[in-house]
Amino acid sequence: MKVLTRSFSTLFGLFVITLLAACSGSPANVLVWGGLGDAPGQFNEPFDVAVDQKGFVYITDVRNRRVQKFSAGGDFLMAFGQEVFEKPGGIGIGPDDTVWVTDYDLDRIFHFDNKGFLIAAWGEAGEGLDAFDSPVDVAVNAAGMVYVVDQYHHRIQQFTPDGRLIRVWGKRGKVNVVRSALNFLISDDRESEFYYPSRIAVGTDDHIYVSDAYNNRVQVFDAKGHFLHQIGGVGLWGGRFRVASGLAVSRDGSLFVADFYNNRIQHFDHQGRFLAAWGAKGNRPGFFSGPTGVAVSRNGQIYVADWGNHRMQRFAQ
Amino acid sequence: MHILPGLFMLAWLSVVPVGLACAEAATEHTATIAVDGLSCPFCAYGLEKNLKKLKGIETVDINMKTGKVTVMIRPDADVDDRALRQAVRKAGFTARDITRR
Repeated sequence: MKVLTRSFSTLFGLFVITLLAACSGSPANVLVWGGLGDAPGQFNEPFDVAVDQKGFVYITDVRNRRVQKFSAGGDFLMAFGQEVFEKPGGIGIGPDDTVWVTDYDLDRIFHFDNKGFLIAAWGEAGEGLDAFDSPVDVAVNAAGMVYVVDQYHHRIQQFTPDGRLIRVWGKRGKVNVVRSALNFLISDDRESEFYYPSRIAVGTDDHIYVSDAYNNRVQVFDAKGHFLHQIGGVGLWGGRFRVASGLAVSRDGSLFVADFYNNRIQHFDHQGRFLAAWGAKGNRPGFFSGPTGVAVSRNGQIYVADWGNHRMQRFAQ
Repeated sequence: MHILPGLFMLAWLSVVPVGLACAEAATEHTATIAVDGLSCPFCAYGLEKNLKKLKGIETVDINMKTGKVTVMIRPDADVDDRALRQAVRKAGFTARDITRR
């Protein structure tokens, strides 16, 4: 009986929190650009987005095998990487505003300067600790250390900028869906285990945030890969996910997460407490069709790769 | 000598249908795989990659709305259903039906 009462009060609390979040001011949609196509400024499956310190926006355009660079206002500036990419996946920006891109099919990491010139490429397919099987995202910390989501190995790797392996953590582990749904009552365990991790971001405190996509949660680690805490679990209400995908940390340390099947973006404070959620399935401004990438600029503009709608959206807080 | 053109014509007529049959086989070598749970890029990209690793696969087209994966196989390649199912399983899915044309 005690458990039932506790469950009911917890669920009611979550419902109230969600309602309050929905009623509170969500970021306003201020810009939509793109559309399906292969012309400059169009997309065919925009998958991930990153913003450099000057506010330039970089987007992996998967089926067009390129990265496109835009101004903060969505003006097309250039495209690059067509000659080397097979399937550009995740994208990250280094402290020197250089651009890092994973290639999902080639199992390689590409490093470009901010004008699109290739600086280096490293990595290969395999089963070794430093090898990849479908690297899906990359993030770089303030010291220049490169973190890669090695999706089909269900792990995270940390490298030096020239591709020397520092450490690896994580292994395959699927959280039972019932335990995931009820993890606010009973821990779902499986810390540092992943089930098709999808995205990675480095926080202002050097903490590492990983979207553990098919475990419907975000796991948070220190810079050495020690587990700190987790956010979410499967569900429809605020703070829960149905496939956690793109994520970004803003300057105030708060976290934005793209919630793929719930077609929304969720906002959490630096301790992982749910703040707000916005969006629903659709193709009007402010609606999404499977968001897969999020980035936040230094001035707080939120960019979303709206994958299924083949477009980008920008929101202002 | 008069018989030679006739023999040549006969040989040509006997070869043409075989050639046409081969051309037909070459254009119809496709397999359609029904796969459950295919609706996000994280699923689709992995499946596409694993299928493309099979020798003889030319193109992979995934329709996420229907859950159908159409694979074009080179006419000279021998890609059986078992190999297709294994590739799908390696990508984290289960193939239900495979139909060939």
